[in-house]
Amino acid sequence: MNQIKVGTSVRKKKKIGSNQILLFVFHAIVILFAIMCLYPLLLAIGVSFTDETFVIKNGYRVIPGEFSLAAYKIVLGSLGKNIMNAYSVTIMVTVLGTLFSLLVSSAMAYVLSIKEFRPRGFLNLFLYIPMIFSAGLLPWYIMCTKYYHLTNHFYALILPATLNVFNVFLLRNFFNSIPDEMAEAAKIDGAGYLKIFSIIYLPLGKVGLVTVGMFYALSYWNDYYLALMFVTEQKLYPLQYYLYNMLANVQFMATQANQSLGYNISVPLETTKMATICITIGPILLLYPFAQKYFTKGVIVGAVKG
Amino acid sequence: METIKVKRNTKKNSLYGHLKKYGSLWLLALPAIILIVMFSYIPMSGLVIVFKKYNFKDGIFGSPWVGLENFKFFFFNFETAWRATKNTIILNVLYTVFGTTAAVALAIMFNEIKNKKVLKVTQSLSIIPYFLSWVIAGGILSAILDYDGGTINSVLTFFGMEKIDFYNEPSYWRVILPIANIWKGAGYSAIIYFATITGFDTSYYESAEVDGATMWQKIRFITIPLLKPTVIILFLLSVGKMLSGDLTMLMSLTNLSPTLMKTTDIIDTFVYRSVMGMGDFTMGSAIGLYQSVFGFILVLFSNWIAGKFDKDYKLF
Repeated sequence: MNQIKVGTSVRKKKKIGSNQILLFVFHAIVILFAIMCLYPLLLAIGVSFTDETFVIKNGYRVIPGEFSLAAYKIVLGSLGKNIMNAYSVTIMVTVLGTLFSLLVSSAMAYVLSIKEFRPRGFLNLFLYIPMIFSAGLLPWYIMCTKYYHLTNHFYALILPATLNVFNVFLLRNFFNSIPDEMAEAAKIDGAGYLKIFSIIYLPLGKVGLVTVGMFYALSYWNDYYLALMFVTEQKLYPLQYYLYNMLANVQFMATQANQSLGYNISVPLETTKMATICITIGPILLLYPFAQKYFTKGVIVGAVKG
Repeated sequence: METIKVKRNTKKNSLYGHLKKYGSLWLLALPAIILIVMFSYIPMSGLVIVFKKYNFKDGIFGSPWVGLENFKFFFFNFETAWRATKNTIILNVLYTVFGTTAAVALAIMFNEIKNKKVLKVTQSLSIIPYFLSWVIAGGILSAILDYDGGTINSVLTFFGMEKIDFYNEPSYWRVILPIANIWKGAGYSAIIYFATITGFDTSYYESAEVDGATMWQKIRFITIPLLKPTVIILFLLSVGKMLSGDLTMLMSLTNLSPTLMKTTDIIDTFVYRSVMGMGDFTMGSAIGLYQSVFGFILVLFSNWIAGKFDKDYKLF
């Protein structure tokens, strides 16, 4: 290492140039990637505010060639009720699901963190095995529909997704980091496990609970898999599933718009699709800055702790 | 010492003693246990469906046994199953290779950018796609790939080139799907790698600086070697997931269009179609079984290799 020092002063002047070029390239690529991530959203917004015939003739543009609120009139007007319904389903599912998931997960995580509980190892394995061996879609689907009768029930959108074992392990690790002395002290005061859990571990584990809560909330909010499997009645469609039907099924969208109007009008298909997408993205983008902090921190902790 | 003696006695008094002491813990664990049994373990018993001639009325456990007959049918019509398997593996390899490369590259670049504002804005923007559902991604993708007015074709026609009919040409999707995968996840993964890089011992970089190393040299000889173990472990682990795919991703992006199935039908979409009555049920159950079994073997194998590579990596 020391030999290189001789002659560095001459080389250094040239190397600074190459450093700057590289840094510039890095900036460019990173900014380009960020734009690539943003562009699709801008496209959706732009098209949603464009006149339909313009889109058909000239294509999809970020900046509306011909401004029009027609798509939004339909989305907020005739589709409005159905979208509101889908929104309320999703909000209910997300709120109730997240609370339920947190409760069940943290309880299990707590049990897994108690060192003197011998069956702990078995329970860890018991939770871990489904992560590496799964029966697959077919048996699961038959079980849920034919034997558990989940079809078209509200809790079908929550129950199968309640437990994410990865999250349970994450919480377990959080609880493990809470010093044992606290539980010991409480035990001396005569507290049972339930009390220790609710009065000590839950409050102390708040950070972990919020992080895992956000993970669960995001997966409930974005879920359309469960609806795809179990929901056929439109009043139970969650938001993403409603959107999926709008996008995948032109018939669906046409009947949606005609329902409230009662007569056959031509629906501006493409711009309505984009407007619906924008309405769907809204909440996520609003909550995003707030959630981002917790997410990135949580993911890093989770990844590091394995 | 006294406490241990007491514990041993309690255990000798068996189940009753144990439940008395730990009853509340079992109560706390019960909901989770019930859910896992219901949704993970009991369906495993449903795998026997492969050995039966399933009819809806008798259900899984009432339908008659036919032994290996379904497998005969499966092997005679192997082509579609094989295509699905091939696509699953090819796509997963593409996702892992290009996805990881993109995420690591981004992380390295993030690390070199000292301007905090630029860093914050670009990082925030690049993880937005992670929070959007595939449904939204699919909807916007159709605006980009549309034959008549989509972004790409608009650019092509502007330069006087011929339009591409993406939704009718399967071969493009081996490129489109990995790109979509990168769009959705690379920014987010980059944050994790970024956190790892910022945790590296700065003395390496400082002594390199003293020796006159360029930025590129520092990256090549310090950052990348330090990242290697993490990346290799993740590659090895991804082998375990080689047979599993993302149904929601493919449904949202392709709508399971039959014209694209040559390259986009994966095991999961194949099974889905058979479950929904759009494909063959027997085939679906057979391919599902081998996905589970081989997937399991792959996971064990990849974890074993990862353990050999890095002794710190333990499963249990």
